[in-house]
Amino acid sequence: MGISMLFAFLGLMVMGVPLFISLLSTSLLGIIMLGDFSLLRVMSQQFFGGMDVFSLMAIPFFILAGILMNRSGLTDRLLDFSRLLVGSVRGGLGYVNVVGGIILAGVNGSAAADASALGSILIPPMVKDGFSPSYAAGLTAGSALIGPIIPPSIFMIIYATMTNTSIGGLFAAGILPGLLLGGAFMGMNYVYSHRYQVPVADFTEVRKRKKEILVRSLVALFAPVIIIGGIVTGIVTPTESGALAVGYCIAAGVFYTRKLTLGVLAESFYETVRLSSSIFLIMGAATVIGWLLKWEQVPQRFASIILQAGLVERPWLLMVVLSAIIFPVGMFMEEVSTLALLTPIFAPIAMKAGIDPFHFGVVMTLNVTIALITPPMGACNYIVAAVGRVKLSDVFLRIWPFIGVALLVLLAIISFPPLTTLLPRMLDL
Amino acid sequence: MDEARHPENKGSRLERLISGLERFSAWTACFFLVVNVGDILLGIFCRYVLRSSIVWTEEVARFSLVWMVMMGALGAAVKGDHMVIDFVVPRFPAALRRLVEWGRFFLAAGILSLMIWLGTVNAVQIWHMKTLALNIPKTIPLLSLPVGFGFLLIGTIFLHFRKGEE
Amino acid sequence: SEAAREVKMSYNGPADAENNAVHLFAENFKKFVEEGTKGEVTVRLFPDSQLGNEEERMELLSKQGMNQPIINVASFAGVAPVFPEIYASAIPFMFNNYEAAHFFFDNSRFWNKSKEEFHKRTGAYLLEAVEEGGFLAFTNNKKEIKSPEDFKGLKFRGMDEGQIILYKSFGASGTPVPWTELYMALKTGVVDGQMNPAMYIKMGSLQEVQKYLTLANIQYSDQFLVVNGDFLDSLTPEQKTAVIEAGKKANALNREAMADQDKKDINYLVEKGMIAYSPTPAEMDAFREAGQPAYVEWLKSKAGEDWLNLALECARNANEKAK
Ligand code: NA
Ligand code: NA
Repeated sequence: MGISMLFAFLGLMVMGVPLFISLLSTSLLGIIMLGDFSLLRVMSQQFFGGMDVFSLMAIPFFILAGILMNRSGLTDRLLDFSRLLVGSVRGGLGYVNVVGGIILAGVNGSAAADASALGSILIPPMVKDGFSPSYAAGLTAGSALIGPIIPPSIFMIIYATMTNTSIGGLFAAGILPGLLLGGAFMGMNYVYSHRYQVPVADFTEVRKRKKEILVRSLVALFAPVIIIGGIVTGIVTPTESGALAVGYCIAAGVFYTRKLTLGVLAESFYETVRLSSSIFLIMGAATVIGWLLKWEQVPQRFASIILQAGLVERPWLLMVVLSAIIFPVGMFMEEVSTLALLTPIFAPIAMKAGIDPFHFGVVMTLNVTIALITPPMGACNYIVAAVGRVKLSDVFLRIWPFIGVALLVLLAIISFPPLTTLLPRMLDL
Repeated sequence: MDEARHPENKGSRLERLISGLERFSAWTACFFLVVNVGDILLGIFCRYVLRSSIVWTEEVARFSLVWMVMMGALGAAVKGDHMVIDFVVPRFPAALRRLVEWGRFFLAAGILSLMIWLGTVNAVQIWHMKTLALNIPKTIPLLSLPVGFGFLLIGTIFLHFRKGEE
Repeated sequence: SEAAREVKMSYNGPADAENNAVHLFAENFKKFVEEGTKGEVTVRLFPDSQLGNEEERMELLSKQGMNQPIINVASFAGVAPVFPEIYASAIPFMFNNYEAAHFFFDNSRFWNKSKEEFHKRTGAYLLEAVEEGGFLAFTNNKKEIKSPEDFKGLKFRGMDEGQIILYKSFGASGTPVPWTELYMALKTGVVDGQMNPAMYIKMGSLQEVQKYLTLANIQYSDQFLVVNGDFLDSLTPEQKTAVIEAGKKANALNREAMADQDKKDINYLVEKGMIAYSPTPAEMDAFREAGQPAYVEWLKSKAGEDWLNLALECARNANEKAK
């Protein structure tokens, strides 16, 4: 049953059927194959159940906070700040791109928001500075990957909710890996800018405005402080920190930068509603399939294969093998569905192998995040190609070194569990 | 919400119907988002400032979320935000493409109708069940499913025939 | 004879008999059913709420729902939506000891009436109140609690309106905090205390952030073995008896294991530095007098006065019998 459902799903997806309809059709097929129509009502029951979860509440908040940061002009200020921080060296704008990605990651829950903000602001000046357009686009897509690893993170919320892991703990576990990912892309930028002799950026203008930029960016820097600080100290729950961030961005945008008019606010809310809806409908539909697979004990059968292969005794190899399964799936499948479908199958095996839940949560999340830049299905590639005015085929060709670097970081994280477990343990999360 | 996005608005009846329907669902969904944010902020306020909590904030948050999501589904369809792989079919020859488009339309309409029916049965059968904190029938959150899918179904039909007109 | 029938059994918590008493029950139940029916009925276990949350599983099993041939171990959150009168069996300070609770859930008029009413409403059979983790105890990190007066001014974690009402009637306040956030909330002082069986206090490492433990037998913790009606009716009389007996035998084993476990867990908490206190009978009466009336008043809207009175009367009898 599992196999024919998989093929039906892939077929429908390729034919351009919206993903949540593809998923629901696949469930219907599964029920027809079981021949038990009394199970039909499970479709609406589990669809509702998949969305009706309190901890998922944080998702729209972090989407909205990201949109408000961009529209209120706070993102511009953050990027000015990172220009000041790392701009005046060879390939300076490349570093600005990555550092900007790291700071923005502290507010944005998804990579898409980062990719569009970084790309539209930084790709044009990078090209003017002598970077090749496809490299600039690729680096932007890479920087955007930091978004779902450094908290807040929609992927982590979904994973934690499905496995009953503490969201705050998983968030803390992502901080070091996110910084490592940023470091790796900066290293890559160093090599690129020296090999191709990208000129040293001229930042005399920026340095003249040093004080002004510092003062202006303070308000913007406070948003990631609220989110990460609130969660890490345990003063507020992740969901509450999202609502606080929304409240803060609205206040800053209305009273301080004065860019948030009623119209802009309404637009931002509507965009949030639409993006959340597209994510939650997939969550609901994937929950139905997940239920049917459990009813037929498909995850248990998969687990027993892994068990027989002796992988449970070798956690390192297990994580490499599971990553090797996610990679091709992630090439062709959208990320939320990948996560929602594979988590219930993979997480119990990882727990059986004695892998720390935070460690495995980060590994799983990073795998799915990398899928954002693997062709042909990869949201970040489309976004950077569009905002950077680069041909999609060029992005597809030049993205592979960035995928390679991200995979190396993944391997490092698989091999050194303390990278993920250290912070949550220190913070008692 | 913004008509500027449809500059070629020919003022046809179909077009007006779609935008009217979209505007209604958009405002409803945004209303639920505002309730949602406000509810969580109220929870924080009560805990830290009033030093006590309200039992119903968690339920209000969950129920306004599902209503927001379901009412936002139509807008996401009109604005093309639902996740779709859209680079394969456009390369098909015209006749095959038309066939696939009709197939997709019937599949979507069928699945949505099924979900509306199942969602209604679920919501109605559970009328006697009360939620723990608010003590309202569980039917109220559950109705979001058939209502939201209902809007989406009507929208899907309109959008399909608008495409046909073009 | 017919081919073996397989039945799915769903419940909460991990497939780990050491840390999940419901799994221990499920394992024994499966064994006894398969032995008792000579393999004609086999049970397949679905731990970790794999078939849905409490409400969803009850819908799956009841006649008005999807009427699937399954067995379910439901907590109060699963039974209450269809049979809120079950709350009458969880009035605080109802039972003086385990024996009283066992008598109540084996033989009392309340329990027999509950079974009938539950069957009438859902078509399903309520078979056992599965003992799950000992009595709930209070913990806090402010002061030793010996009587209701000691609660004045403290902030407690209250997971439902009932718990909050109980704290209020003692002069404390109640705040809902999810289990995953509880440790931090106790550590940072968002709340001062909470109530749980010793097993859960240990599981959540709450002894690291809580100093005082008051063993006030607040509530007996149990979940409910529920079987789809059409499934049980479709069995032969012998098979049906075997299934019912299997529930009884497995529950007896759980009661034995829990009595042991609860003692061990309390000792563990004391070893780790908690100060445990068992109230005297007079102090228990004080808790009962201060805590029960407001709680029972609140329950009236859910469980109805008749059911509440019957439950209290049966509990009094059970306490007498268990003296
Ligand atoms: Na982030
Ligand atoms: Na991909």
